[in-house]
Amino acid sequence: MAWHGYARITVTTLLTNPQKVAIRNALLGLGEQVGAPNLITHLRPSNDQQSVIVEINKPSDLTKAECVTALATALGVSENTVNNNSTFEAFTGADWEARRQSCLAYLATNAGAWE
Amino acid sequence: MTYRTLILDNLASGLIFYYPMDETAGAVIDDVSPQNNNGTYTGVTLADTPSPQDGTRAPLFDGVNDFANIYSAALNSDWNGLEFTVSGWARVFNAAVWTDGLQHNIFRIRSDGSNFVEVFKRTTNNNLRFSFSGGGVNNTITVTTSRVDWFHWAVTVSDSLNVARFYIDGVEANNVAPGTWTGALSNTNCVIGAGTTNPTQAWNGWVAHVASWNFAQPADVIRRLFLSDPFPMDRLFQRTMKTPLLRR
Repeated sequence: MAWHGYARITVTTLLTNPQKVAIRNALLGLGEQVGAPNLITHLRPSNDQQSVIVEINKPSDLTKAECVTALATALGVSENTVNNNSTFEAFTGADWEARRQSCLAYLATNAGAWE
Repeated sequence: MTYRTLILDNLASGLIFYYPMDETAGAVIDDVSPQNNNGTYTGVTLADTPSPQDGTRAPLFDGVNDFANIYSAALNSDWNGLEFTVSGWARVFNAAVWTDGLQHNIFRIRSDGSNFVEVFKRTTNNNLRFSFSGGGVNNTITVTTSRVDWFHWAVTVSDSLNVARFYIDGVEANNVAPGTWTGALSNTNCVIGAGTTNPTQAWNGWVAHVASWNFAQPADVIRRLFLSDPFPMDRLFQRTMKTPLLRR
């Protein structure tokens, strides 16, 4: 059964604008780009664009390792470097709706960084 | 009479766009007006719940990263910030949305920070806000509500008559003397279901039947949009047409 949900990845070292674009493109590449709008991978960057919430539909849970691999390739650095300079949170819940509510609760708690 | 018929048959004059938002597939938010100012959906769950006033189904905006971008060069050409009406229907996902501390935009068209029209749920609990800014003169009205059913919203602006009116469920909530809109539309700030295409201020709930005209519709038309009510001329026409049938 497919996993449809939300995750947040934050890079803790300061990114340049080209790096921010590269990260967004890399995250979009993790999932589908055709199909129903809700199932196509789409994003929401934080105000400073150091963090991105990714909504994705894929065969299994999105993991930090997948994001790290994609970001390392996009940024041209080692996976170890990305892993040590990033945080990851998959919003939990039994289904998409529960994960959405978990993500909304996070946004409400951290509105200043995202609105 | 369906809402679509009401708009396309009775209110076609001056129509800039009309998005029924009843799509069941694809990423195009279809403008069924002659202007064909189509836009693009991102993330929405199409045909998620019954729309108001007809048998179609409306998309769910998830409150996180869903929106419909309606900007186009053609819309920018059609838009007249001096004289216009915007209207539509909206519904929150549940009562908790009204107290979640987040801003959720139903609709925004904006040139810049001094020239915009928008309808949104404020960060303040149970506040629905209508806002029109022309030339930096920002007029807002706030409606206190926690309703979870569909509601109809509308804003009419007439620079020539020096009045902007804000309506909810076909009733004028307030009116103000507006400033004068200037500037071309922003390509990241003409959005249904969010405040920007980033997206920020994403709506958490459903939106349907968003329409705009290039003049300020009068109050009785806004009332009839809310009621999905045929016009007197229609009633007259229907009676005329029905009479022979009744005689049979």
